[in-house]
Amino acid sequence: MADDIRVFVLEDDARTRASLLRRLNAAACIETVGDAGALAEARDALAALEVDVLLFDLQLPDGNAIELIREQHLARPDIPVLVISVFGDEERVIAAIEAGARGYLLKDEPGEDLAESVRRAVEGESPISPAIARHLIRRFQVESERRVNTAENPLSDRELEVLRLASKGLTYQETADLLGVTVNTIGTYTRRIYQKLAVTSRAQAVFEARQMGWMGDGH
Amino acid sequence: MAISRRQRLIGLGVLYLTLPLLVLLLLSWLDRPYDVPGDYRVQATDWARSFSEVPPEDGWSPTSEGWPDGRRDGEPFTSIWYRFEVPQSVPTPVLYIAYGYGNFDVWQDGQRVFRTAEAVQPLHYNHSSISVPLIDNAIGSSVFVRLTRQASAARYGFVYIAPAELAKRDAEEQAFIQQQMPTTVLTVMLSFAVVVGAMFLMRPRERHYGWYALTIALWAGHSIHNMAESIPFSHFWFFSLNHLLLNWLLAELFFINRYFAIPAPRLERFCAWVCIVLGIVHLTIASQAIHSLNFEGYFFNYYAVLEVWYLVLAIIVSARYFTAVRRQLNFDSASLWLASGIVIIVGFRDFLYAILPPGSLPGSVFYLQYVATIPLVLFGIQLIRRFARDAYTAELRNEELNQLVEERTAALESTYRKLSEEERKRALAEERSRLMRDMHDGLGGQLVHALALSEQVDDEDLQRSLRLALDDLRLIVDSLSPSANSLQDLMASYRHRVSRLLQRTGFNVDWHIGDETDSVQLKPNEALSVLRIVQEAVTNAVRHSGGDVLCISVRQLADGLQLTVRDNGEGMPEAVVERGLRNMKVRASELGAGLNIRSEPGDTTITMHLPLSGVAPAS
Repeated sequence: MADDIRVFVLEDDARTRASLLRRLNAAACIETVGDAGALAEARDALAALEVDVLLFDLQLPDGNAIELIREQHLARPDIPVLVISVFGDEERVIAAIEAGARGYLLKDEPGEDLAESVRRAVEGESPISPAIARHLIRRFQVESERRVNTAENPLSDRELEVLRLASKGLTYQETADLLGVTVNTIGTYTRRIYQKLAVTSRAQAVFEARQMGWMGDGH
Repeated sequence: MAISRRQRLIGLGVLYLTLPLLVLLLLSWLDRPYDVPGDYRVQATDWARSFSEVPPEDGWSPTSEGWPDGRRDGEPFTSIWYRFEVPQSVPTPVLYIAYGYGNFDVWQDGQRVFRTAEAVQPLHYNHSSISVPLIDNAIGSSVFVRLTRQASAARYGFVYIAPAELAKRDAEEQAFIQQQMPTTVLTVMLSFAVVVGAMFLMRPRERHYGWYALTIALWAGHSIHNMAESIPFSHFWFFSLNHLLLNWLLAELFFINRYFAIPAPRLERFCAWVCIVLGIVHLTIASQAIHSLNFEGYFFNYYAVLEVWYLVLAIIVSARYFTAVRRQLNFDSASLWLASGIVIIVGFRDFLYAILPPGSLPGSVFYLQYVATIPLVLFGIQLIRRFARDAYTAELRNEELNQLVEERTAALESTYRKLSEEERKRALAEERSRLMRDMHDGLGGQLVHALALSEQVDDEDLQRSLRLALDDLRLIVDSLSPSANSLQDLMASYRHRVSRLLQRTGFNVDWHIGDETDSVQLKPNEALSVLRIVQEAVTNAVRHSGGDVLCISVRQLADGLQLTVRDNGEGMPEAVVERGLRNMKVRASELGAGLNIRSEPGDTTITMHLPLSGVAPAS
């Protein structure tokens, strides 16, 4: 159908990939338009492909997908990239988010959960786990301490509150009920937090590069 | 009333000027030969050094012939004549000759009555004086005495005629001031030298102790020579002894500069060079004088130069002491400064005594040998005081050091224990992250792969079993995760994972994870057991209870943790309770926790109580 969400899957394990594709295709409104088992293959396929969501595994035979995420994010920032992972463990996922990913999915999630997450990502929401929320709270604390001279807090109070509740394991629904907003709003908050993280990380990278004299003042 | 520093200095200055005069007066009083009314002692009315003014010679010329012990070979002799008119008021008159060594001729009314002490029986004879009886009819007669001595001693001492009683007393006084007193002083000095020498041996770095001991010993040698005539010193050696005094003054200069820490290397070098040059000149002149037997002129001039240099050096020393007084006004510096003043004034008196004609100044001896002892003794006292103080301080320091060493040792041991503990933790953490990687990249992916496979064969049991395996693996990863620091974090991850599942089963879940559990830290194995117990309880409730409300609560109580999983189902069948309990009980007992299951229709509660050691109860 023309309105279906077009999904591209990058996963090196063929059977897992097949399972993912099957579960996604089983859901209404989702259509997988391509898949790949390696970075190079994915790069080629994506060059001439219209998609709505990208699902990337991180560890691939020919390297790490972080660089591909960065490329895709720069090339088409509106297309959400979700990391597919076994554990959703924060360090790898955070690295992906810094590169521009919108969140992550667990590989063994049932079809409906998978489809739900993809739909939400397209609508502008981002999933988050307590471990990632904790990591982000710490990360932005350090950030605000670094920026103490400019009195500029990278996160709003609301965003911090969302992170705090997420770090305690509350679902979006529970958080939304507590804060008196809709679930969509919470998902949007999370996406904004991720974006800020990506921006902050880029700024940090530029800052550090400048400190080391790699870039001129023109940048 | 507070005395200012300035007033103190002025007071010291007055003492500096008056004290030497008092000392001089005291010495003169002790060394008084004329303390009896003059009519008892008959002074020489006239004296001359010319042979032409005396009665006719009998052909005897002054030589060393007939000397008591033939000492001082080679030194020229000179004769001095004394003339007396013996009044009738002198009963049993005797001739008293201070420094009576040498030859003498006695002429009475133009007749020589005897020559040398050996010719008569002396009333007394010691190293410094002799008294001999005159012939019976001496009263009213005219007496000539010719004293023949080595040139350097000819002018010293005095000669008179007095009653025998008085002469005896004078001899005793002379013996006291020239023999007993120097002996006493020498004994004191030598004892100081021994003590300070011992201190120098104990602490060789304190060079001034060595300087002191050495110079005092040299000075003592000088004194021994002066008073012990029986010791056969050579004439040359006698000259050298004058230089000892010079060296002693030089050493004193070095001593001050080091003792009071007022360095003056150029001054020291200058004085040392002058002393060396004088020493060389002295050696040359003295040897020439000996060989030519003609040294009166050399001797006097050189001696005058030496005396003047003594004085200059003594003034320099005194000035250095004054510097010390101004730098640090205390007993040490003040007393030594005053003593140096005494040495200068008394030395000046001795200088005058040496160059003026006999009788111009009262007294019978040089006084410097006595007063030079004052600074020496002061040195000794101060060195001993300082040594005692240093030893005491060193003892205190030692104790402090010992204490410090003990403290440091304890600190080191504690640091070492901490370090090894850290090292152990680091090794554990490394091992843990290796495990994580293995499970992550290997086991997790393989389970997902197997799950995908099982979907193809459509085996529900296999799928469930694989999902359980994945869930368990996630619990293990959570429990090992270095970022999940507290029980609260662990429960948050668990809650996040099961929320959607529970929702789908239709349960309304009430979570009560106390904020105080944020401070509860569990070891990985404990965390895993706790999570498994909770998971098992939740799974049981979902599968078997048939209820729709689940309450999961984790609280920290005063004596430990309390985990409760409660549902409103109809209660678990006995078999399930037993089977479920078996697993949970095993895990609980491994943890050392108590497990309690209460099941009745509408309320099934599983409670675990985990005693916490080392975790402070939430306040």
